[in-house]
This record gives sequence, structure tokens and C-alpha cells, in this order.
Amino acid sequence: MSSSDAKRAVPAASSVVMRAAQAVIPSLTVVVVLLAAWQGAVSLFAPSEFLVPAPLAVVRAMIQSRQALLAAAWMTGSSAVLGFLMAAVIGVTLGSMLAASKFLMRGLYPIATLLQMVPLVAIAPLLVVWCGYGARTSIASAVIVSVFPVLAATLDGMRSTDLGLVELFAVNRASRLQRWWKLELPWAIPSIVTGLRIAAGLSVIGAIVGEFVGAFAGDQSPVGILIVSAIRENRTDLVFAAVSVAALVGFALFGVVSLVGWILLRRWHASAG
Amino acid sequence: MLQRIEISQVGRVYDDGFVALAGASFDIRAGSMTVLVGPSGCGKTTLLRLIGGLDSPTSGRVTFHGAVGALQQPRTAFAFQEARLLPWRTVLANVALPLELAGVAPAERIERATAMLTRVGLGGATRKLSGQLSGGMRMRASIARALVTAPQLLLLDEPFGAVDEISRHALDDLLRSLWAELAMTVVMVTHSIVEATYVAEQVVVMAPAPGRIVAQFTPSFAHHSPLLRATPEFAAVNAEVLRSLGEAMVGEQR
Amino acid sequence: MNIDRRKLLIGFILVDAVVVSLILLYVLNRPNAGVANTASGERVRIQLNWVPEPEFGGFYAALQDGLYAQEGIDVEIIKGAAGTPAPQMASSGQVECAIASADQMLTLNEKGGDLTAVFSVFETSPMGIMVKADAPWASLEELWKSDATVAVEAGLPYLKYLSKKIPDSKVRIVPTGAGLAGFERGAVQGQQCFVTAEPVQMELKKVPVRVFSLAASGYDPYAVLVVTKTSWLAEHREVAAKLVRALREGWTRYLADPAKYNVEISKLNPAMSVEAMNIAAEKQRELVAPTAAGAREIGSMSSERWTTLAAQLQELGTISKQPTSIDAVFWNAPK
Repeated sequence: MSSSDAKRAVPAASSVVMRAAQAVIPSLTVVVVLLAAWQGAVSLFAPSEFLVPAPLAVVRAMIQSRQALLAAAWMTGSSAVLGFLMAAVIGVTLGSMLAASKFLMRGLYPIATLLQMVPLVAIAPLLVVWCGYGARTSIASAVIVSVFPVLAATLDGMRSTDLGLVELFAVNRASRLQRWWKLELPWAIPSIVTGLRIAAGLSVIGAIVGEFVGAFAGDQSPVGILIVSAIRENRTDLVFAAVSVAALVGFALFGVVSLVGWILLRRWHASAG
Repeated sequence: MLQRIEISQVGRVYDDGFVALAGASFDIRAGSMTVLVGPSGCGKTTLLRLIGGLDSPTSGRVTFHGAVGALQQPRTAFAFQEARLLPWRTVLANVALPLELAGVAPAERIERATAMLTRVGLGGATRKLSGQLSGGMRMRASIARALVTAPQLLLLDEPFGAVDEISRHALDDLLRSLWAELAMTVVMVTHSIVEATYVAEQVVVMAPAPGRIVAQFTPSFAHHSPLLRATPEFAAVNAEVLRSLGEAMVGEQR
Repeated sequence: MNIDRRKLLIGFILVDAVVVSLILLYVLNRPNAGVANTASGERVRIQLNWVPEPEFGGFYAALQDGLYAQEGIDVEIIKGAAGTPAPQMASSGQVECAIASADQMLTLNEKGGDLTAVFSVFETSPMGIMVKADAPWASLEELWKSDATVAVEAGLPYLKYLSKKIPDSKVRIVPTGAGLAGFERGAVQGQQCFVTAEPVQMELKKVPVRVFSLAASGYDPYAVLVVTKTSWLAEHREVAAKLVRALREGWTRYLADPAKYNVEISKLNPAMSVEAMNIAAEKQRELVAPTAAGAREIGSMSSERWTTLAAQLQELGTISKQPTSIDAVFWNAPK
């Protein structure tokens, strides 16, 4: 009996917990080992604090600056979420339009791909000129980086629609809108969910890059400002703490999107797979 | 009001010059059960699509004749070799789909879809997803979806080709009884001669290269029951159909 | 099948071995910090923290006139850019000298840095906040009490200094990353500047500006300091003295006739015209070499100024304790 057979033999309720544990334990172990190695190396070689902080110093910075970090996570997180939601709507809409029209597809897709290649750091200063200082710039920046994966995933998903089903809708004289809403969109959902998962992580990065150039600094500053000012103050521990917080925000967003995707897909995807 | 279908010199040549069908002519009686049988490439699916209006002939024409002369395409439904169920919908929602697309109110479409599912023997599976059904059950759902709009013309493209033989016999019987019960003209494509002989009122035998009609039969049995397949009477008709096809294919090889 | 796979494996190992040896060769051949002794004399690399501009004018003047070579040292000036971690590079031994500001150096030293200042270009800090000439504010204090938007590099100690000094400030702080477009268009009303840079750009664009000096507000760290790793200085006092002599002479010559040297400097930084460099050089003259009686010799520093700065930084919480010895943070070369 192989180990995968053993897994299947476990009753359903506990198997969910088991599977979750099996998914988490290896990565958790790796993280713990890496952190321990890092701490050990720092204790052993004692490099200058401004070069590499010890993990414990990062944790200390997290605790000391918890209020600033929480406020930053909230500000950056809300920019990222808003940007992500806008990117989701724009990406699915544009993707649908491109999937529906060969002309648009040939005209716009290369341009969209090209835009994706432009480094965000280069356009971020322009965003400030267009959107002004404040959250709007970081939201716009989040939208710009996260819209393309959604668009591409939507387009791919819709273009892969089963031709037999397209014919089924045709013989039943479905309208273009009916075909989109009742066939192509649901068909593309697994692909769109994949695109959204990528976009979720990117939106946090996008928001932070926007904040580098366009956010207000003050008693409560977003993660981007926290990072640049910590760099300037040679507070590498705080830089790592802020980066960790940003990673957590991204991870949380990724988790929520994955969960929603799982709920949407579990019925027919699980049965199909 | 069902219509007679007249197929006169219907041909279909594709853009690349391939002759899928070279001038077929025959009549389909209103309310009849016609089966097109032949090997792959004989143009039977092409002909079915031309009858259904999914494709246009490059020569000849398909005309529909009601009580008052030529009419437009009748209310037509299709069933394909694959069930083509939407995997994210329940069986019920899949069967109700044509009504939904036609704008029928929810209550009515659920009622009609449920009734049709019960009729094809899936009354207990309405809430299941297509992935949870066996191949035979999926085909029953597919047939129910085709019939839910109460079509005047039902076109079936090798509907049971992917099902095991025993299930297939049951589905053939279901089809016969549905046809006997509902007022509709049925045209079915198959590559099984046994199925054609058993199901059809009219068997149209076709051969490839180029796709054409080689023979027509009108099997008529005194007692049509599942045991018919085991009678010498049936075997005789079956052999006749087989022979006509075999002669056409041998001629082809010379 | 098995033989093919073995061949493939051996192939991979060979390729890997070649790649690894190439990397090792490259790494081992890299010039190592501190050991470079070339034929033309002791090698000194100066890592700038910004692009070549008049704030580094004397460094380039010394190069153009061969003053380093006359002292018997081989100086290489390495261009920087926004974000170049110049003092960090000196502290980790990647270069011998780097440019930093005094507050930056003290902060870094507390975080494990090990730097000593050997030369200060500016006697008075050229940092300031510029506003448009027709702006309603008469002083830095007035600006800070308004609800204007000011572009400032986050994390610099002077921001803390100002918010401490001007408690009821309402000013809104944004990063400088978006460049001067925001200032020009009025999206930001105040802009952190180096007297020698941004105001000159505005002047050339016919946008009249005023600059509120930070030094005048009471926060006046030495700026454009040449810093070295303390251990390097201990072993290379002679070299450092030669460097400082060349720099002093270079700056004297540059201040006397900046235009003569700016032509070459502009070639290294085409984004800034010779004309702009000439204007900038005029603006910085008084800050580098004050004409007042008893003024310092170019480049030299005083313990009073360092003591004041260290006290200010501690009060702001930027550093947690005073340097062990204030006289150890800087070194005035003997004449």
C-alpha cells in the first residue's frame, strides 16, 4: 500500500486537517530551519548590524514598532486590495472583450504584453503626476502590475472553451451575452482564479512601489514609506520587519483569493479532476 | 405539425476541395425514424448538419414540406456523441439550459426539465453534477436536454457511440419509446449496423470517397421488442444492410 | 539507455565544473579592498553618493590637474546615483573612501559601521527646502505650520528635528521619488533640495524659487564628507594626509575658477549643463569657504560642531548614545 493510498483511506473529516497539515508542515520546517541557520550565522560571524539583522532583532523591531507596522499593513493592504479588485474587474472585462473579438485581440494583446514589460519603477513617478500624492497613486500602481495576469488568464481560459459546448449553445440559439455569461465565463473560472492568485501577490508589490514615490509620510505611514525611511536610518531590522509585514499582507490576500477560488471550484473541479 | 423533409441532390464540398458529400437525394417522412449508417468519412454527419441547418450545402437543397407547402426549418434539437454537459451545473440545470436560453420562466423550466429527466430514468439524479454520472446516465441527460424543448425534429449524431453495448441497447429502446410517444421526426447517425437495423423505420446506407448514399432499407418487424435482436428475422435484415455496405466498399477498392 | 544517462550525467558534471571554476577565477581575481598597490602609488577609490556635480568639484579639479599623482596616490572617483549606499560600501571595505553626511555617518557607526571623517566639503550644510518665489511663507517655520505638501526624503534626521522644533506642524510629507515635476506643477509646494542642484534647475527653467536653509534653522551637519574605514585610516595615515592635501588644493583651484573644470565634469554628467554647473558653483562658494574672518581651512572640521550634532541626534533618538570619543569620529590631516 503506497502512502497516497494510506492518505485516501483516512476518513473524510480528518483527512482535510491531515492534508492541510501535510501541506504546511514541510514549508514550515524549511522556514524554521532557515531562520535558525540565519540566526546562528549572525551570532557566529557577527556582521555589522546595518548589513544583516538577526531574525531575533527583526522580531524585536516588529514588537517595538507594532503600532506603526499595523497601521502600515492596514494602509498598504487596503491600497493593494482596492487595486486588486479593480485589476480583477478590468482584467476580466478586457480579457472577455479580447476573447470575443479577433480584431481587438490582435490589436490590443501585443500592446498589453508590451505595457507589462515597462518597469513599474519607471512609471511610478508619472503616476504621481497623474494621480497626485496619496493612496490613489499606490492603488493605480497596484492595478498596473496586477491587471495583466488577470487579463491573460481570462483570455486563455475563454479561448480554451470546449468547442462542443460552443456548438451546443449555437444550436440552442444562445445570444453572444448568454454564451459569455453562461458558458465562457464559468468555463474560464479555473484559469481566472489562477490569474487572480498571481495578481494578489503582485498587487501588494505594486502598492509598495507606488508608496515609494507617492505616499504621505507621517505618524502613520504605509509600508513603502516605512521601508525607505528605515533604509535611510540604517534600521535594517525595521526594513526586514516592514518587508515581512508586506509579505504577510500579500500572503493573506493570496490565501483569501485561493479560498474563494477553492469554494467556487470545489464542486465541479474536484469531480472533474 | 410535422414536416416531410426532402433532400435533393445535396452536396457539400469544403474549401480545400474535399468532397464530403456528393449529391444525396431521399425523402424523410414526417414523424419517421431515419438512421444514416456507414463507415467514417461517408458524409453522414455532414448530411445531418445540413439537415439541421448547422451548415449549408454547396449544391442541391434541403426543403421542409408541411400541409401548406415549403416551410422554414422546424423546431430542431441536437444530441451529440459526447453528452456535452456543463460540468459546473447540476443535471437538472443542464437539462433546463435550452429553456433558460430561450427565456422560459424558472418555475416552468424546472418543471419541464424534471418531467423529462423522470421520463428518461434520471428522476433520482437531478441534483448530481455531470462528473458524478456514468456514461449511460450522461447520455440520458443529453437526450433529455434535447427533448425538453419539445422539438419537431430531433437530430442525433452517434449519440450512443461511446457507451458499452448493453447500455446502448437500453438507450436504443428508450429512444424508440420516446419517439413512439412524442410527436417528432428523428434522424440519427450511427456506425453500428445492428443499431440502425433495430432502431430505424428507414435505413440510409452511405459509403465514403466521395460520401454518397448506396442503399436504402425500410425494416419492418411484426413485434418490436428487445428480444427482436435475437430473432432470425432481424438477422436477415441486418445481413442485407451489411451486404449492401460491403458491396459498396469492395467496389470502392477496385 | 543507462549508458546514455551516465554520459549525460558526466557531461553535466563537466559543464558544472567549468562554470564553477570560471566563477571562482572571477571571484579570486577581483581586486581586493585595501591590498591594491599599483605602480603609480597607493590606490584610493572614492565612492560618490550622487552623480558628478559641482558639490564634488574640487575632487575632479584635483584629478584634472594631476594633484593626486603629484602626491603619489592613485585616486579613482566612482560615480554614484540615487540610493548608492556609499558609506556602507566604505564601512564594509569595498572602497577606501566614500561620501556621506555627518548625521548619516554617526547613525551608521552606531549600527556597526566603523567610519572616520577626513574631509568636509561644506562648512555650512547646503540642504534646504525650496518654495516658489511667490509662495506665501516667509520662513521654514511658517511653511511647516501650513498644510502644504512638502517632498522630503523620509528617514532623514532633520525631519525629526523640524517636527520637534515646530511642534504644531501641519505640513504633509511625501517622498521625493517623483522628481521635480510635482513641484513645478504645484502638486507639492515645498521640495527638499541641495542649494547647488534643484534650485539651479528651476532657475534655468525660469521658475523663480526661494530656499529656506536648514543650517539657519539650527540643524547643520557637515555635508559631503569624505569618510574612510577607521582601521584603514589607522594603517594609511600618510596616504590619507596626501589625499587631504590634494583635495584642499583641488578645492582651492575649483573655487577660484569653477568654469575651467566644469566642462570636463559635465561630460561625466551630461544631464547637467556647464551653464547649470557654473551657477551651482557660485551658489556653493560661501558654504564651502566662508569669507568671514577666522574661517576654517577648506576641509577641516571642529569638535564643537561634531559635539553639537551628536547631542542633537541623541535628543532626536536617531542615535542612542554619544560616540565614545568625539575626536575619534573625525581626523584633520596635519598641514
